[in-house]
Amino acid sequence: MRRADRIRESFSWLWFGFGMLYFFLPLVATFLFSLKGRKGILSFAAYGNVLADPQFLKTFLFSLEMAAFTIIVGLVLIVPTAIWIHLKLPKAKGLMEALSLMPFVIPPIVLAFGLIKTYSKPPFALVSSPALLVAGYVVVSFPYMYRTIDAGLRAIDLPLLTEAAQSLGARWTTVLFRVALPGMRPSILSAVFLCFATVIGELTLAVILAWPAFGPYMALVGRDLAYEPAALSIMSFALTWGSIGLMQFISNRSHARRVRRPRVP
Amino acid sequence: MAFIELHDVRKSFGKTEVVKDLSLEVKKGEFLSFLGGSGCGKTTTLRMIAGFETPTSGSIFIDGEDMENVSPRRRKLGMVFQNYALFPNMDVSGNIEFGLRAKGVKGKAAKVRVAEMLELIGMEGYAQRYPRELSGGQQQRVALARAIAVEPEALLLDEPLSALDAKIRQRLRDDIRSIQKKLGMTMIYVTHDQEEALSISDRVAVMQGGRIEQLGAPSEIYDNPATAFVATFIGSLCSLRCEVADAAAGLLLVDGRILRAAAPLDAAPGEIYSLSLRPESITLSPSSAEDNILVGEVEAVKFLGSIVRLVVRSCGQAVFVDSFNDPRRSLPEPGEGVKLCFPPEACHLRPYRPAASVPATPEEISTSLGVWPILDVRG
Repeated sequence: MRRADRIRESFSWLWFGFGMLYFFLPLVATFLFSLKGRKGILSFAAYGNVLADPQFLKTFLFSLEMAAFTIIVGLVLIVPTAIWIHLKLPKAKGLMEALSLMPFVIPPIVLAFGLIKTYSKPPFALVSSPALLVAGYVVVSFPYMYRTIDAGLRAIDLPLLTEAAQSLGARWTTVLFRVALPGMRPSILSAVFLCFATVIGELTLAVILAWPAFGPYMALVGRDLAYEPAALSIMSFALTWGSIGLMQFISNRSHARRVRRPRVP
Repeated sequence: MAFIELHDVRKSFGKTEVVKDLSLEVKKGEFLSFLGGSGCGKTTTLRMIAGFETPTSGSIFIDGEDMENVSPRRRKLGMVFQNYALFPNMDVSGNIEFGLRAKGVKGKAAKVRVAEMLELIGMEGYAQRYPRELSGGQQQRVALARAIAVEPEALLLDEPLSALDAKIRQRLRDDIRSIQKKLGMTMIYVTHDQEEALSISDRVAVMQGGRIEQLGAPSEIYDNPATAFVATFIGSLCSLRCEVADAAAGLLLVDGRILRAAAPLDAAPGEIYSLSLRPESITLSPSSAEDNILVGEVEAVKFLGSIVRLVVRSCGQAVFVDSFNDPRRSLPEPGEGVKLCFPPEACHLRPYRPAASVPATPEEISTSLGVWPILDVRG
């Protein structure tokens, strides 16, 4: 290897190291802090306290449920829309991109009050229904989901594959279920992960709409206790990544089952 | 009887008319190519036949049936795309099986057909490979097999070899032709590569500006170009300005020399004509007493592999002279005077038009086509 290449490679590793430190140092520091629940010794006492609190599991399961509904509603709304725009309305791509930025422009607090104002009286008295929270989550996670799915569609060149499938005699349903959706699988998975991570930690909507979600619970613990919030942060990090890993595992297994079919002799 | 018919087909995108009054008949079992530069309307015409574009006016008939309101999937046509369009989530056998399943062919029958197709394209051991694990040439073979597997009435190929390198392109085009002959399948092929179109087609439709400039057998198009565009687009051509000396005797005056055309001219004495010559029809020594002779000075000698091209300045213009590369023969040096000899039959004559719309000199032709025209003309 030439000297210049060695230097370049060393720099790459150096920057990679800096990146890793940037991401993991706070985690390591939080983890070490979370172990100081008992004076003078390192212990998992703070983790024990968190797990002993019934609110922990209750709020996490609630958020998990909300995340599942948000993912389902988001996918049902966004995937067909994105496919339709790519196939039939390519001119609307720019408009959709602009729309997908709106949740970043409008703060969640404005969205929450807007939802309360609109849906607090008949005929749409939904303020006491978790459906309103799910609707809010769908809006908040819309940019992540739409942009990820849009990027996936661009990568597979759906209009071309659709034409190829049609020229082979395929119906629209066949195009959708055998070509479009399997081709979009990686981007749909990424959209699901991003949506899940967003919903699990979301605070503003859950607080203002008054739902016992995991985000408000973490904020509450952080306000009142010292070591438990650090333990909770580590646990939430692990739970989120564990859930994402589980989804990936299940998805990979079902995909592998689908492609493992009898071969041509 | 024609199998595919186009009657006065027009297609506009907004205010731009890309196909203009196009009429065409393709016979069953025929291999027809649309040849032309970018934006000439060849792909749009193919896509209208496939059903992916709707004609603005005019009608398309396939096997006697009007295709208006017939969806692409019901047209019984196969299509091969430039970028292969293989389904990335399916392996080779899955891709080939796709159309069969869509048509209700399943189980053992489908598997047998897939095996037949793999044998046809010589890829028996690749059934379980995914498209990302194949080279461009292999992917296009699979795309071809996938399209043929469903036994379409005709196969439409949209620049299928454009994304491949020269060697594979050459081999695959021969394969496409031999498969077409073997199956007796009607094929319509779109290309910008004249060598490709001339070498594999029964007939070639040269297109420009949304119209067919000439439709005919490859040799007919090359030897008797119907328009100035076809003459310059197909192969390489050198044009000289000449004056009609004696129309009845077919005599022309070029730079003070009398030249003889193969046939009498329907022109008035003194009328200005354009004399076009193929570089391969000119030699440096006369082969018969009938040959016309011009004199010139060698400007450059260009080595093009199997061909050696002399650029000769004659009558104030550059004229190309092509000959096979023969190491035993000595070539003239730049600056040397030479004779340009060509038979009367080699003279392509048409009334002179200013060079604004049609390239007149070899340099203009080369510039307008971008590369050395004799090797690879891309519009």
